[in-house]
Parts: sequence; C-alpha cells; structure tokens
Amino acid sequence: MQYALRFLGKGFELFKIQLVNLLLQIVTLGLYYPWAKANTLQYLYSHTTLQDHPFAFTGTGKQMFKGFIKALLLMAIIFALAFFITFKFEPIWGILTLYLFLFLLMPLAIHGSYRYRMANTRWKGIRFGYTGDRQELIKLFFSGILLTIITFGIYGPWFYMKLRTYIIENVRMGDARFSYSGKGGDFFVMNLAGYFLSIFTLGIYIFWWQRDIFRFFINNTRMHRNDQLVSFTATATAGGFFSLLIGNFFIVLFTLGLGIPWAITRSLTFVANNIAIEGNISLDELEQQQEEFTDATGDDMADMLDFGFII
Amino acid sequence: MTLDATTRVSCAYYNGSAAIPHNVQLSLYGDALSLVYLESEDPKEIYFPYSQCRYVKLEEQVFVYLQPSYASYLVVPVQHPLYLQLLSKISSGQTSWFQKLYKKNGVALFFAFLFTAAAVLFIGYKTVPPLLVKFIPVQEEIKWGNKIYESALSDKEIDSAATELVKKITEHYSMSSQYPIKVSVVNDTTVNAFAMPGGHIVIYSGIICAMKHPDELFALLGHEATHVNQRHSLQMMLTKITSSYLLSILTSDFNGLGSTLIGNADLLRELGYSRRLEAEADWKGQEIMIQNSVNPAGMTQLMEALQATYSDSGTWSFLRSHPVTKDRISESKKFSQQHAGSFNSLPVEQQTAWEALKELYPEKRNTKK
Repeated sequence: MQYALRFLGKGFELFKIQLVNLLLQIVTLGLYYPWAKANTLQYLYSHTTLQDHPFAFTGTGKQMFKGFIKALLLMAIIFALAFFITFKFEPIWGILTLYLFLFLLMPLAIHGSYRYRMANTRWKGIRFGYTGDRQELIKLFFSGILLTIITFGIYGPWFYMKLRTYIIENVRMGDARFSYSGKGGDFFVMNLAGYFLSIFTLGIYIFWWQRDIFRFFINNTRMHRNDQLVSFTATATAGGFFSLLIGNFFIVLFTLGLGIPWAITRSLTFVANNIAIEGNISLDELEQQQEEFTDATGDDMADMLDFGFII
Repeated sequence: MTLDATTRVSCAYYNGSAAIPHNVQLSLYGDALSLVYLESEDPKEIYFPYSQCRYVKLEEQVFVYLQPSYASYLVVPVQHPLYLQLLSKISSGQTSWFQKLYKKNGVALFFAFLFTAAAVLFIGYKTVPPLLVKFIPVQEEIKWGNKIYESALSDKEIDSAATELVKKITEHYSMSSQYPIKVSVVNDTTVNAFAMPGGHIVIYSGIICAMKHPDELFALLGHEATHVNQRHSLQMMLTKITSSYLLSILTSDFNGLGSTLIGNADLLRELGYSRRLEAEADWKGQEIMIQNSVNPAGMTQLMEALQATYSDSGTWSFLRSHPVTKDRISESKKFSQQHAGSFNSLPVEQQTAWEALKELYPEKRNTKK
C-alpha cells in the first residue's frame, strides 16, 4: 500500500509564531528561548501528516528550559576552565582545552538530542524512541574522528554513513524499527563526482548533486515491523531542487531575511511531497512500546554547539 | 457539572495505547468534555478538562489532544454538530502569553516587535556596561591587564632605550592615583598608541616621529591615561559583549553566546574608542596636564601634528580609531584658553631625555625619502 506524507504548514503562520517568539525572547532577555523552540517544533510537527494524521511534538518549554540551564552551566564551567588555563598558563592550552571539551560533548549531545526528540514525537498517539547506547555512540564517534584525521579526511564519508546508520537503526516508531543501508564508498563516489561536475559546469550541476544526496538518504532508509516492510523512495528532480533553492534564495534576499519562515515551509513541503512511501506494514496496528524521556539537556547542548538534527 | 451539549454523532478517538480508532460519543460540559465508547460493553464516561486540551486544525478536520502528553486525541470533522462549540470552549482556556499574542494582528505584532527590540537594545546598550564595570575590582583589572599586555606585545619589538627615555621624561608626571601607569615604546612606524585596562600604555615610534614638543607627549599620555583611569577599554569590551548578546537573541542564534565569548577574547588589540570616550580622554587628559603644570595647549599641538601625518602615508591607524576632528581641536583650544597661566618649563634632565628620544625618532620631514 501507499502512505501519504504531507506538510501543511503556512509561511505566514510560521512567521507569526516566530515573531511572537522573538518578542517574548527580547522581553525576557533570551530566557524564553526553550519555550520558543517548543512553539516552533509543535507547529512544524503538527502540520506534518502521515496518512492524514498529524505528528505531535510533546516536549515542553519547561523541560527544555531545565535542559537549557544545565547545558548553559556546563558551557560556563568549560569556558571558565579555558579562561583560567589561558591566564594561568599559555593561551594555546586554554584554547585546546576549550575545543577538547566541546568535542567531547558532541556525541553526548547527539545521543541526548535523539533520545529527547524521539521520545517526544508521537503519531496517532504512538511514541517514537531512540534505543542507541551512549557508550557505543561515543566509541563510534571518536574512532571515526580519529580515522578521519589519520586519513586526512578521506574516511569522512564512511564515518558519516556509519554514524547515520547507527542512529537511524536505533530509531523506533512504536514497535516498528528503521534501517539504513547507505554505504560510505557509494557516498564518497557520489560526492566526489558531484563536486567535480559542479566545478566543471560552473555550479549548474549542484542541483543534480542535491537530488543525488537526497535520493541517497531517502532510498536507503526502510522501516520494519516483524517481517513487514516499508520502503521510502525519493521522487525529487534536479529541476525541483533548482526552483526550491533559487526561490528560497530570492525570498530571503528580497525580504532581508524576514522571509525565512516561507523558505522553511517551502522546503518542508518540498521534502514531504518528494518522498514516496510504500509497503505492507499496517500502521494502525503499531503498538506503544517506547519509554518516556524528558531530559532535554542533550537537545539544548546540540543547539549551543550549533549542529542540527541529523535525520 | 452541567451538561451543555451532547450528540449521537460519533467521532474517532485514539486512546494512545494503539493506533486504532474507537468510535465514541462526545458530550460537552461546563469545563470538561466527556467520551463514551460506543462499541464497548461497559459504557463508562471518561472526562477531560478543557484546560488540558489543545487542538490543531488541518484542512477539514480538527485534532483535539486531550492530555498534555498528546497521547490520546479525538478527530472531529468540520461538519460535526459540536465542532464550533468545542473549539470555542478549548480556546477560551488557552491563556499563555504566546497564545494571547499569537491571536493578535500580524502587522501590529511586527511593529510591536520592532519597537520592543529597539527599546531593549538601546536600554541594554546604555545601562548594562556601566553597571557591569562596577563589579570588576581594580586589582583584578590590573592583573588581567598585565596578562593581556604580555600576549598583545608578544609579536612586537619593544624599544627599551626609548622606553627608558620616556620613563625619565615622565618621572614627575603623575597620571593616575589608582593605576600603576607603565609606558612602553614599540618600534613600529605606524602612527599609533593605545591604553590597556590596568595601566599599560603602548606608544608606537611612529607617533613620536610626529611630535615636535615634549608637551605633545604629555598630552598623548594624559589622553591615554584617562582611558585607563576611566576604564574605557573595559567599558568598550562589556558594551561589545552586551550588544552581541542582545543581537544573538534577535537572531535566535544561541551559538551566538559561545562565539560572543570567543570573539571578544582578542578584541582588545583593535579597540576603537567611541567619540564620547575620546572627548572625555581629551579634556581629562588636559586636566592631568594642568595638575602637573604642563601647558594644556600641547593637546592641540599634538592633534594638529597628527592631522598633518594624514597625508604622509598609509600608516595612520591611530587616526582611524582616534579621528582628529575639528571639534576635538577647537574643544582643546577652548580648554587651554580657559586655563591660561604660567607653566613650569621642563627640568634639564627631562629636556635632555626628550632630545635623546627625538634623536632616536626624528621628524619624518627631516628624513625625506
């Protein structure tokens, strides 16, 4: 059977949400940030539908505020330590300490972020979940980074695919699980070709390259429940990417950034419209199986370290 | 509890334990709604207070979440007889600031936002840095200044002979009661000089070349010492931190907090003082000159000498951060006229040191290329 994925959000509504968010953030000198994030996520989730039923983001501003304070304290301690070392010893040691700690935090932030986001995503009342193990992710992360450094970056695509595989294979939707089969070698070749072809064609190939990356991520993802299967297929074309990206560029440029919400809703509509989902899992039979998880520290940390959600 | 409305028309209820819908009968009470399973043997009524409910309207139906956990929900189509009544009961219970503001007109919101943003930026910019400055003790500032001095001058060549001569010249010139003022001369043809928090003043040899009279040196040091005494660099730094924090709120970019801290670490070296602070350094600098019985007209001479170097070459970074304006010159003239009188001439020892210094760094006009 076919499953319908749609995004129904409107640019103007998102604009209003972000305007109110900003207003409240300014008045509270930034402390409203976690609630603002909850408002935005709730809107985006609730306007994304699968089989005409919306997703729900169940995280709250209060949870994320607690996480935000914890993450902020942790950052403050790290910065204080780095400043202390800078002034007590050599500045270079201070900077090294800073980057070392920020680096150590990255897998912790990814892990915490996935656990929080997934446990707070629901569809038809069924909770998502992330079952990844923190120790394993840390091992995978640092061995990957080490190999990437040793090979002067060549291992990068393999590392990225390993990380993606690990994360996606630990995502659950009730009692259904996901799998990912993208291989580092294919990803490397695709990007190498995309890079050089983009240069040779003076950038025109970028839209084909984008399409290939999208296709690679989507087509390699599957959902499983017992022996049933759902597969995802990307239907986006290079022309589609051209009008999306160029359109967004001009929207943001001519509105001096005020049009960003419209660019966001256009992108999400594009993504939802260009994923075809087919399979034999009866989604009505999904069972509640995932635990509750309300500690948002990792998610807030990921925000501070400025890396988005990977999926 | 009074029953407001009920209907036999069923709607789909997802109870959160499985993704299968159940047909339920909906009834509306004063402050809660109730559901009764239609296909169940045991038709028990379940109540959900409106204050816990929220809804999302998508196309022709509304999804009513019955608990804050979003676990269970009801799908009510637009045609349902209780549709409007249900929505109005739920939305009257929504009282958060966000909800209240969100219901307002978009254009009004936009202007409210612009106004608030401008007000907060302005007030924050004006009030926060002077307040923060008070929390930093002078002793800490001096210690901290020494560290910055070491790292800032690590790649500069200090002219120890010239530094000694300047020390000799300023032996009896008292510039600060709070801070240990230490002057260093750096061998660099750039016309530049700056003060660091805690008392270090750095003079580039290029600026000495531009001087004709020792009073100009006293004027320069008076000016820079005022930056130290009034903690101008500290104020500037706190202003920058404050404003980039406030701007990071505007862009919702919380990485901004991290990069704000990093970005400001190396800021001191390129401190440009604001006009207000420059004007203050000028007249307070002239006060220092008077207290030391030095003719404050030296300030005007210094400014004119510096202005003349404008045309010389590209090495006038001091003028970029300390632009000599007509205002500054006329202000300093006015000050000198108001404080006219007799001033001590330089003792012989100091005069000799000055001449030796000029020997090291003569005026450029004499050494034309």
